[in-house]
Amino acid sequence: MNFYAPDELPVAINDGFPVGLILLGETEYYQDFVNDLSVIFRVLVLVSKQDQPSELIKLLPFIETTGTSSILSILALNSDLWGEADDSQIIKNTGLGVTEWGGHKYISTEFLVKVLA
Amino acid sequence: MNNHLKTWVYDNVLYGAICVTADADFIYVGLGTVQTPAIAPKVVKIDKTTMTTVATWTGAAGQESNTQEIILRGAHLYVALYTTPGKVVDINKGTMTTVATWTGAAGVGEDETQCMALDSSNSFLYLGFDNSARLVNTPIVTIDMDSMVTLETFDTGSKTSIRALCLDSNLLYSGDSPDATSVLTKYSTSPLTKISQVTGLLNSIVSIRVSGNNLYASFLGSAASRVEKYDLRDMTLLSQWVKTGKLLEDLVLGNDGYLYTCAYNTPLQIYKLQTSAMTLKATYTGTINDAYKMFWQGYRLYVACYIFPAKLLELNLPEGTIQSIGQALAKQLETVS
Repeated sequence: MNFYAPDELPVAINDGFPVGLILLGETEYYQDFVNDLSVIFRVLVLVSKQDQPSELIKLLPFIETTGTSSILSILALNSDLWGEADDSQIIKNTGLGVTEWGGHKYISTEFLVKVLA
Repeated sequence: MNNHLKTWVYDNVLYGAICVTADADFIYVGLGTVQTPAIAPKVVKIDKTTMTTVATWTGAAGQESNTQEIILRGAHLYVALYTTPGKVVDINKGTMTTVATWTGAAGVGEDETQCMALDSSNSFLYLGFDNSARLVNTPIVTIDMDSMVTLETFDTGSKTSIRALCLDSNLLYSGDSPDATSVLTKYSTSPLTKISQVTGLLNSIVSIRVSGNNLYASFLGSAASRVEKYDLRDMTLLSQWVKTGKLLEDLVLGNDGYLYTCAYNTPLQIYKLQTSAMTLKATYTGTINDAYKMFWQGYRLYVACYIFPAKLLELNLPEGTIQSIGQALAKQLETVS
């Protein structure tokens, strides 16, 4: 599955669903021995355009706590992101909804990932 | 957040950890003891993943005492021993057995005693000595790492204790303490030739690191423990960071651009310094004591603690940028099916 990092977000999404978009959320700066940053990343999973509500069910495996589609368990396998971070974890899923991107609305779900680095 | 902290504890209360190095899979810790008479020095090989001891090199009992410094080159570990006369042991890191031993000149004023400082180029080891008897001048000895024979014995001209050596390209820097003060000396190599010297520095220099045009030296002394920054070109003091009441020991430059120094205190502390302004960025306070030597690798800082039994800390010190973290997050999530 394709996930776009914050520095490579596409102008529009035409195919390849489901697709992931990673947006920058809030960043906190502070001084700690091992952490200079606390960054929230908004991880969006888009499955299809808004006119296909039957696609909502496709988002459920991503929200589960186990399984090969579980965002939670996949991140837990490598929570320090190859040493880029001290730790990362999913702190919230905001449920099923709609995301507008490139002039179109998509059925989606959003995860908030907190990264300490 | 110290959730990636690991601790290794040796299973023999007679030994403390004195020096540390690491390769991709293993950490190597040199051990020492305060036992009298001296018992055999040891180097333990620790699995990084499990933080368990997988093999041990044991030196000879009696004459041999503490390991003092350890350097890794290819398949070999070079371990300086605090013995009379001084010794350096070449150890096969795979089998953890002795390959060869260099032994300093004996009986001639005990000048090559108690190896305290060690640094290396690709081919040569430079040795400094404690020379506690101070009967004759203290030498700096250069040995060939392959043949383990002496290439050069340089007379420093001083009855002194050399605790710090740092090689930077073809220049060697030493920190020695003939009395309550220290001397910082710059040498050219092959052959060793004294270029310049800073004298009369309060307290003992215990560690030297070089980066770019700057030299950093840590000074041990409870009243004025400090890290000083010098301009390499003319050896002028640029700035200093003082930590009163702590016993600063080792100094390492992280690949994150910060300078780390540790305190041999209860509890241990590690200080993260900005090299530009020499200001304190952050402090780590441990739950155990007596940080003595450190080794930086990747985003890990390994801290050897000279307490009994020996302990080794692994600290995770990530420094990814927001952009690189975002890319890593995308890469990881792409494994979602």
